[in-house]
Amino acid sequence: MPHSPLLHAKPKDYVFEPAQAEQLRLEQGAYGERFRSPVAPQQQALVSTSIEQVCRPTILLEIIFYSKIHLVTPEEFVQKAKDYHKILRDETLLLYNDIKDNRKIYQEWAEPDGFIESAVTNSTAAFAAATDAVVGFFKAVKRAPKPNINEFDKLIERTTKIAYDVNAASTALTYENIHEIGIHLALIREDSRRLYKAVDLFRNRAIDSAETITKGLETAEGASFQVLALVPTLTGMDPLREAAYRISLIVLRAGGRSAGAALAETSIIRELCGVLKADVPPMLVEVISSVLRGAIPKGAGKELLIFIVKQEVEFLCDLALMVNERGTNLTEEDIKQLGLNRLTSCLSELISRLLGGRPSDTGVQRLAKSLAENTINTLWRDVLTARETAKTQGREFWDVFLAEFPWTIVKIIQGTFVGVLQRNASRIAFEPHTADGQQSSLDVLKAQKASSIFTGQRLTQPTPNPNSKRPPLGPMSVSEYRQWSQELYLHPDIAGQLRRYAHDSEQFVAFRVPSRAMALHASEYTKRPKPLWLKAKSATLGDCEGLVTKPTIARPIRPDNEAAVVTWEKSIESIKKNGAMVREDGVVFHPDMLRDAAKANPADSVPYQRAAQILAELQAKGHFDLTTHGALEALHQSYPHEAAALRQLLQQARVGYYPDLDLAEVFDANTGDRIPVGAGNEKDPAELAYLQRNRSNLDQTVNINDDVRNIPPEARGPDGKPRVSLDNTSPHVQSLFQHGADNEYYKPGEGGPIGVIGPDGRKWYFKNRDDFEAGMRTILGPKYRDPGQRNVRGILMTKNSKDDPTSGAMAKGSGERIDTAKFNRIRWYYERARQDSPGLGAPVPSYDIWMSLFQRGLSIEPHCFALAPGGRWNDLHAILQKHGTFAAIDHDAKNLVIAGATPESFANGLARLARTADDLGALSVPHLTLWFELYSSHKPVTSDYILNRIGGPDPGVSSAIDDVRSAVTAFATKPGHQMYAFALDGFHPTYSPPQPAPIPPRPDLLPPADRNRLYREHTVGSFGLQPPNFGQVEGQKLLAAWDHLITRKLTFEEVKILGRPVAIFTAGLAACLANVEPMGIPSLIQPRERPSLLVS
Amino acid sequence: MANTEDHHHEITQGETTVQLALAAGHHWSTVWQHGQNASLRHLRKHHNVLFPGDRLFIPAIRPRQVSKPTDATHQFVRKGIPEKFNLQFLDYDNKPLANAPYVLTLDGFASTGNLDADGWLRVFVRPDVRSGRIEVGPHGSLAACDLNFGHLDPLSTLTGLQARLRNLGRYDGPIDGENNDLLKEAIRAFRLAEDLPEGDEIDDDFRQRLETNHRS
Repeated sequence: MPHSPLLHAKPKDYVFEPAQAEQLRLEQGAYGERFRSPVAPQQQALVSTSIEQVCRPTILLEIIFYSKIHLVTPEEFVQKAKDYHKILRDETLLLYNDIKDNRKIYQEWAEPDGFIESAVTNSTAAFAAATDAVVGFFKAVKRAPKPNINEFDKLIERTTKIAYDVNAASTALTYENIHEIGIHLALIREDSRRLYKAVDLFRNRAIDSAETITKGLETAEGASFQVLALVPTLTGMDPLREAAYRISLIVLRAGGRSAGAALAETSIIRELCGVLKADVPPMLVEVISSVLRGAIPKGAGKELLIFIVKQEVEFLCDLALMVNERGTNLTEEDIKQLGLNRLTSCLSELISRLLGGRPSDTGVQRLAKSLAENTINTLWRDVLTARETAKTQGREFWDVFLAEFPWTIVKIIQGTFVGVLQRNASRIAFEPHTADGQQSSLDVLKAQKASSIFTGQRLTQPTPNPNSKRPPLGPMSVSEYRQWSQELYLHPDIAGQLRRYAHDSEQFVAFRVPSRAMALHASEYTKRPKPLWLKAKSATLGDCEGLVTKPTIARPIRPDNEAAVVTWEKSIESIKKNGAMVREDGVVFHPDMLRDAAKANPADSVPYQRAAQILAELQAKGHFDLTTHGALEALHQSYPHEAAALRQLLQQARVGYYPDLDLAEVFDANTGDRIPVGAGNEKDPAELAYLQRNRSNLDQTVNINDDVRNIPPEARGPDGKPRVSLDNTSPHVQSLFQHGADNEYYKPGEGGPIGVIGPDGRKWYFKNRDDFEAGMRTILGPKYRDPGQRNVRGILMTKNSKDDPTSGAMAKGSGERIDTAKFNRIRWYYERARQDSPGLGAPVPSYDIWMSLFQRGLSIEPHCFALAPGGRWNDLHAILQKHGTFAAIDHDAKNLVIAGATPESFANGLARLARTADDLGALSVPHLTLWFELYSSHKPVTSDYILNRIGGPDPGVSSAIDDVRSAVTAFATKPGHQMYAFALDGFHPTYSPPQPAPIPPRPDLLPPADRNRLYREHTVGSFGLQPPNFGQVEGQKLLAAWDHLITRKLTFEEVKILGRPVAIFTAGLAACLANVEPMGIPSLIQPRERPSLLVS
Repeated sequence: MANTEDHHHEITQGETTVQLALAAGHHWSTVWQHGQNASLRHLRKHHNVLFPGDRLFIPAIRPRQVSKPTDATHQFVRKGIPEKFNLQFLDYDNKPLANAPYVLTLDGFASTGNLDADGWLRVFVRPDVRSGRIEVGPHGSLAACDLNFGHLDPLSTLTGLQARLRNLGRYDGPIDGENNDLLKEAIRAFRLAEDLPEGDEIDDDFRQRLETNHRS
């Protein structure tokens, strides 16, 4: 080791002085009185004349738990002494466990014998070259100066003693006892912090030294290997487990866990939730990004992630609060109020970044919705479970819920980030992700599996694929998608997957060009590809084109209608057996599709669910074909009031089966061999397709949030991993291959057009079989053989083949490594998490503020301002400079947004906005709507008395802002009140760009309206031409907390400037705003290119 | 009702010698120093700090004749009016609320002023004042409380202890004469603060410290 900070450390570096009581700077907790007040207003003095007497404020007792002071009245103390005692008892145990756990972790460092064994076994067994370095490293760890592990024992001893005292105090619940125990615990906690600090210093130095080793390992193995296997081992903790652990610490620090349970005080829960909202997201994103690494976008994207995590944490907190207060009687409206829509749109943004596409794309929105709903389901389940557990065990709801809180959050993160990335990884074998062809998202999938949180055990690392030498296949461009869609009638998803499949397997894939309506149906979430049991033909004529339809003589569905009728007759039994039904217009569908439709359309969920239920009951009575008179009669008889509505709903529902993709032939690109891909039997090599189809049949739904362990046995490979994608909503190529080329083998001169996709990503279109043979002769050159000469090479789609996203066919990743700087950053986030920290955080860059205005189509151009009549716009520039603010107007001169940062205080920021508005003369302009936006990297913190407080209790409303006292409501004089703080609660809309009119569909892409009933349902939005839907832009709502001078009761009022509300944006949201798709761009200023969308 | 006969009056809560003497037409000392009240004087240290059930002897009014010439103005002063009301305001740290402005409302009439440098409110009030309210500081932000005149019981009684502890901010429970848990906790805390032996015992030392702190 060239320079070892470990070995060059001095023993005194790790020595710390024990804390003294007078050194403790304890924060005020959420519980109890706000402050030591003067004589209480309700106090009654019992006095007499002609004597002297004294009046003093009511004494408040200081109860200390979780290193926070809580002021309580003597009366309250007597009433709740038992609760305080319980809190202290819990705190003692938690502190005891905390120190013991830390000791255990540190012991691995201090005496790393077992550590080496584990590291070598897990990390370096296959890499003998690195073993020596690792062993050398641990030897260095052993002999380096380090903190004395006995310090842990001392703390444990002290805590044990306190535990005895706590037990003894249960029979003497005096204030002195309670107070003293609290102080002692605070001292132990302080000492443990100092000790952990020393240990952290030591660990960081050791990690610095370990970097030389991890660099070496990186050359020998994929980056995921060293991060997933070595670093967690080095740090003694699984990264996600560490995340949960850190959340636990924050929960403890918030003083909420036991206190909330024991006192069941909303104030404490609010404080806890507030601390979690403020502190968890940044820390969590850091930790998660250390696991997911290269898959998470950097820069502004990180702010987005923080924002999303924040949304989810807020959602969780609010949901739990609501369930606690109101039980489980929540309506859809309640859920919406909790921010489901906002969460969904945030997820759309995230997904579009990770998987490509626009946030407004149908697929992205579908996935976002599915993720949001899955997230909610997870939360809902956890909250209800906690409730039930609390009931059965006779515990407080919060006690149970908070104990699981960190793990719930980690589960949500799994559902969001890992879920999205897992989805991405499942597509890896078929679709490219990055221009350079790296497959870092696969690492992510492995990261998830390697985490003991999700699997319960750490899986072995896969063997790297030595054959990954081919040049990577770049992503498909939008124009390519369109072209493929036009020529081959492939839905973009299918086209991308086929292309990737051909590349990865080095094959030419020839297939029958499907019906052009198939591309449209394939984008419908509730429609499914034709399953194996469904042999009936799909329509190529009429309104049902592209869907499997019942043919009749009176209503032909294809040119070969007679043959279709014969096939239909053969299919009836299978259709009935598998629970499918026939709609009145002949479309075959499954009632479960209506349940899917219910999920996709929450607003119409109830009627869809009801329809599915009725149809199931109808099936039970033997009716499955609604084109028959008998079935309709039975429907009306059984459900006289609902039948008509059901028929109408069913006719409008987007359900049905679209046709499979028929293979023509598959060639090996290297040999020219024809490759059979099975005859469609369950046990043949097309098994993957079969399994996938089973899932599509809705009887074995596996969604992205499901635990790997829950995957059905038949879907597992020999190593226990899923061998197929977990996705059931995206039509994968396998699911479209109902049977292999053997059955569909083309006879010369027969059949329709054939499409071919090559291993280099190119595509060909041949009118018929003869053209196809001629074309392949040219393409394959000397490798081409006549049809009769093509030998059979064997089975392709066997287990662990390259189409299996979990197989070892992965490229070497080169993602971001966890280094000291990164660890320091994580620690910085953690350490800076201080409750009630004053100040407003870092100022928001002017660039971000400008961009948030520009990219919503607002302008500062003088000619725009000149449109507004009556204003004094000429000196606009001087006004804005004078006040340090920003202003922009829309092109119609109907909306004026005045924005500013908060470099000093919120009061000053508000004053500058008000002064700007005044100087602009905006008041005198008719029909001009004013919007005020304030940007700040504020750190809302909580206390019990206010919601999310900004900065310290002093709102900074000084005499210097007297000139705008009448303009800003928070500055107005309110009799008997004083402004106590600024606070945030909820959201408020601010200026949103107008919704652009949809672009009409291109006639060359779609069939004429008279032939296709889907004409009105589909636009070219799926191909990326639909203008983005901005939705409503919302900022956080700024409130003023007014303190009543007598009663000390706080009231909250929305802060308004000139009668208009003020929207607050954090830097993170500003970064999100910067990503709004530009529209109506000012002529001189072009926004930088970024992916689209924001929030709604 | 004219006080034409000697009689004993049983004290009820809120009554003081001054109030009763005024109603009977006496100077308070005439009543308090009467020989019939010797035992009460021995029992209660202050004439305005009595306990419900105490019996106060109120002598009948004895007409007094004073000779004065006519066609001249004569001034007669009724002794014992007004009474003085002394209340010191301390903050949480036992420091006086020096020179703080106050609003004193007695029987519906408000007066304003400032506390003195030691936080004392020293004002003259009618002897029969029964209730009032004082607010110190802007909007009562420093102190605000209702005043119940005559309700301070003797130190030797439990209600007297409770009242004094409440005035000192040590006790927030009811004034019911019960040695309840709250009172015990307050006594324990007070003893701790005054460096008295730990416990909730009400002994002479405790009473003495309490009297010193409360000034009465």
